[in-house]
Amino acid sequence: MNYDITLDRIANCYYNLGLERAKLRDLSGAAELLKKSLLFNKYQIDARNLLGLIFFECGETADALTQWVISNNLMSENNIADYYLEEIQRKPAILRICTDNVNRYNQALIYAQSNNEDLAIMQLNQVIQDSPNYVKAHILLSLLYMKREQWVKAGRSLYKVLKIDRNNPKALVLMDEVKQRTGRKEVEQSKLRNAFSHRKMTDDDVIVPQEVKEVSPWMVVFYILSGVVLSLFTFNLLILPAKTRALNASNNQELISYTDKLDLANREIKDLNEQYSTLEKQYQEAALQIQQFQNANESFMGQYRALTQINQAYDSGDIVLAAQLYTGLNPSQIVDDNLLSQYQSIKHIMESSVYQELAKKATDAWNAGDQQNAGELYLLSVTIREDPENMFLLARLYQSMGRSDDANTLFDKIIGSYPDSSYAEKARSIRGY
Amino acid sequence: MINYEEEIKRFKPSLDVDQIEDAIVKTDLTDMHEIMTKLIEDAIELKKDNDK
Repeated sequence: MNYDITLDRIANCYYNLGLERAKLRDLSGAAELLKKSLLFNKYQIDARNLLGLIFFECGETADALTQWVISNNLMSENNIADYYLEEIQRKPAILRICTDNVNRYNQALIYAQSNNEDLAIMQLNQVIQDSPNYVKAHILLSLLYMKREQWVKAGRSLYKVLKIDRNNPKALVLMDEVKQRTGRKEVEQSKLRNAFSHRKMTDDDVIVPQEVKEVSPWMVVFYILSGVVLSLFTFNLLILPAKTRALNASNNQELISYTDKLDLANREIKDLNEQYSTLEKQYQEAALQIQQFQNANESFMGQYRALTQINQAYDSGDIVLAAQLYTGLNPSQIVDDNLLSQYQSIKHIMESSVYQELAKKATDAWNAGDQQNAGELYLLSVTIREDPENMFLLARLYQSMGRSDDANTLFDKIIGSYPDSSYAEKARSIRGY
Repeated sequence: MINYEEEIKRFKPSLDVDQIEDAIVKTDLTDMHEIMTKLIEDAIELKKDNDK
């Protein structure tokens, strides 16, 4: 039928007008036109989708979703509403924030309508913080501010509304009131008047040129001199300080660069000195280690040589030489396991038999009248192993040789170290204890 | 002069996301096509009745 086409055309016209308004950010006007378009043709899907977008832009998410769902139901294929709904569903956080904000706005509205303005303002500020495009919340907040005569704050809220929805009728009315209250309206009106007014020039506005006076030669000279003086003064006052500053700055920069270089060189020297110290220390440690190794080696060689000589002397029957070499050894310096075991076997021989053989030789020498040799042999025997009998004999020998101090020392040692032996008793009687 | 109390009372709560289903059901989707069709149908019916 013809009326079908006519109605479709009317709906399309309203949609086009609505689209134009929306492009100019007149969202309220666009919404009204789109609603009219849908009234003529509910299948005008573009109009319904655009209406949903406008609701979404104004913070009315639920209204937007309603329009898109209806749009999707009316035409399920090739419908951009499907994409919008998917986008919303893909980011559930957005939906949650919107739901929370709607709840908070509704709560704030209840507070505002029951004269709890403080709570309402607090809630609305939170809502606006999360949803800066929530037009209704902005307008309600501005109304509350206006009620409290906080015109500047109200103006700020309304300004935000008008940035979102340029021709929002409520916001425009409220903004007009705010401008009147703050005196801004008069300022704007006067600005407009000045911008578009064309007044006639009066007689006072006529510019009368000054007469050209003739200047005398002296005055010319005076002017030139004045000009020179003024130039010099200007140069000294304005240009010279700037030049000096620039020169100083350049010198300072140069000085800084030299200082940096010097600092770098100092740091390099310091690093090199540190490296030298480290290397010197490493060298000293290495030299010490080498010395220690050499000493240890020499010590090892000396100990090995001594033990070998002891063995050779003992094997050849020269037990005196073997004993002399043995007593000259310092066993605490032997660290090598092989040498230590060799030393232990020599020690065992020395302490089990050699010391007695030495004592026997000493007794023989004493009996032969060679007291000096006897003393040395007894001393070797006692050094190898402290036997109270040999110690007593050595002490007696010292006595007979007139070495009373040495003899007394030995007697005292027998008394102290072997108090229960028969030689201790004898020593005590000699010492007169 | 704006009456702020009255203006505030005129505000209506926003639609909650949970209420979308109800809102869709309650939305009146009648357009001019349907109104015109209904009017024409009524007119035809009336004409038939008159003819009888």
